[in-house]
Amino acid sequence: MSSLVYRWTLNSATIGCLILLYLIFTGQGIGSLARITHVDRSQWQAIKTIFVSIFLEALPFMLLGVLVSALLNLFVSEAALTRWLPRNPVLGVLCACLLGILLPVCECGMIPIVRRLLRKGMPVYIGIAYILAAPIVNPVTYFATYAAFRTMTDMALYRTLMGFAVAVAVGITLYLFQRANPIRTSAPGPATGVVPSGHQPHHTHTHAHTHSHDASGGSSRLLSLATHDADEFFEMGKFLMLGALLTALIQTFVSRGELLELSGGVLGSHLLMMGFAYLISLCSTSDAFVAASFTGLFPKGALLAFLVYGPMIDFKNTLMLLSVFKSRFVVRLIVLVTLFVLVFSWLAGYWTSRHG
Amino acid sequence: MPHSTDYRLIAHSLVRAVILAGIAFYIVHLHNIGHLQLYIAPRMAIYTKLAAAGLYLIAASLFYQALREWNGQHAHECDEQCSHAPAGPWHRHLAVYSMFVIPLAVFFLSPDTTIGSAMASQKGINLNSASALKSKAGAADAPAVQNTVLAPTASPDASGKAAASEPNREIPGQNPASDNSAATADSATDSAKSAASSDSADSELDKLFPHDSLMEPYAKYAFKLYRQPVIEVKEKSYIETLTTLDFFLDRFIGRKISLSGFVYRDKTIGDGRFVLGRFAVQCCTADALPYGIIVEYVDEKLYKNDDWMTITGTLEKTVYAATGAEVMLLKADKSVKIKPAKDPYVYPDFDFGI
Repeated sequence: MSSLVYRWTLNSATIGCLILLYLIFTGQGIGSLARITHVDRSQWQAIKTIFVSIFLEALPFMLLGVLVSALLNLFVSEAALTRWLPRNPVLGVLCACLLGILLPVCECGMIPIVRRLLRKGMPVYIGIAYILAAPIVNPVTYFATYAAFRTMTDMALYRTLMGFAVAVAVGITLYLFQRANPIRTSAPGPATGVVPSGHQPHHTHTHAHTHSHDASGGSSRLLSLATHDADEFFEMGKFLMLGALLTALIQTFVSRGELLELSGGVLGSHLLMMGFAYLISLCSTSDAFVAASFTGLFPKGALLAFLVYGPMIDFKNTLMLLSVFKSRFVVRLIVLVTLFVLVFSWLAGYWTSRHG
Repeated sequence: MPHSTDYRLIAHSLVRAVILAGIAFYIVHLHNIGHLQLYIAPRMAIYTKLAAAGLYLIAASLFYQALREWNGQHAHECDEQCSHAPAGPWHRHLAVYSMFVIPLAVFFLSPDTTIGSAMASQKGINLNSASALKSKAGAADAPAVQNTVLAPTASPDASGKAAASEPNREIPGQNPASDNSAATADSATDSAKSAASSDSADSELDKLFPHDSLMEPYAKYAFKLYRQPVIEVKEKSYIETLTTLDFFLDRFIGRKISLSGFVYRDKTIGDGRFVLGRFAVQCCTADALPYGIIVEYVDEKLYKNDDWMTITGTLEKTVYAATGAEVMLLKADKSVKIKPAKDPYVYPDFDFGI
């Protein structure tokens, strides 16, 4: 119980700090908090509209992810998985990144799948490379980006290449330096004891084996598929609900104009666009149009930073990542991705200003 | 192993079934009252509906499982492992379930509305829809950064100057200058018509709307618009039309435009003006971007934010102080208050240029 209280005080303290940081950077006093607490009707309506729209938009993709994850659980054994995965880490990371071309699921659907694969023994660096690359390195995102930047046709290509490069770089860095197991094993609060995964004690590997070697009972198997789906749905869904609500609040109260005032210099514009991508938490197929609306205001490199960073790390998917990984690992991952995106987008910006 | 009925499992299965069915029913409900498009773009709606079907199936299986458990029929082949109640203390489950039940109840009980001018000011209205196209023609990296020093508070000065430097501040219809421009526009229309009927339409296109291969669909569309006496910005290709007008702005100056949308104001556009525009939605309302044209109208104060209207007027250009870019300005001579469009949002036209 005390650890539950501790966790929530920690979380609310973090949110409080973020709000203070925002106020400091935008140069507002505490008084403007009063303005925020006074929410008028149109703002309530905006919050509801955005909340519902994000939830309904992400729902099918999350459900697909949950379904694939449950199927993996029932039909793919640990042994098969280890057989399929390349031994060589670099090759493994490259394969994980290319897998995005075949399985174009956005990040909401990705996390349940990867969590399942990780529990079945897939190395963390491969799972992370897949989570990072798949929303960007896929044909759907490529064509959406192409459509948004009609005359800057190289944007779509740069985006794909940079997404690939960042995912590979982060994957290899994790392979080299990540030693401890970052997967959240036991839920905080009263320990369930025997089984390592406190959330779902029945989702152990031996269990998966029982299933895949069992030939009897088609209807029972379907039933257990539905149960697994429901388990995962509620586990991921609560993060989706929370993420959608907080994103709706951010979109309603943080104005783009105020954010733009923060920028200064090339590095500033890159960081700003990444921060913006983080906060608005859009899907990788629709964010290209938002990026296109910034053309002329920001250099190409900053737009690329927005396009690559947003699908990899954003507010909504940080919450979902926290359901799989320990918070220390999530923070480390965010720092890594931020650094690599910053460096690569700066290089890309330099390159395009020379050759573009 | 002796088997006893697991009431916790039954309770969990039933609660979950009700929540999942509730979400599915909410989607069906939105579809039935025609409000799904307030949240999801039509082309994406099919996925959400499929999700509703999937949720129904899962809910039905959970319900069936609860029934089986009630009757003492346990899943045979996997005994204790297959289906049993989720572990953990009851208050944590209560918290999780209420994270679904409370929002769902709010979704059902609160009215469905659209986002409007308040959200447009948060997102920053897009007056330069062709900026992504224009940027190719010059504005490279370094100079663009200079423009980012947006200062909405410092801008009224500049925009005031810009407005003052324009000669015609009176009612547009009575202004000789604008009459002249309308006349030239008419003659231009005539010449364009005759050009279109002749064989040299292509060279006329190239001359009027110089373009490269990437801009060809826009140039062709511009040529089509150019031949219309009054250019109506239609719902289907709202964004594409605004982009075309913005890209070839100099060619369209002085032409009559008819535009519908909602009224929006902020301090960056200057006094006596408002923006008439629509939200463009790609996938869901969360990615909506406001597009519009600055309108100058004598009785500007008659119209409140979020009023819907159709405005016909003459296209001019002005400098938008906040970005320093040249943008469209519509000098209104006719305005009609209209009912909000049935579908408040516009969508990218995927047939454009095909």
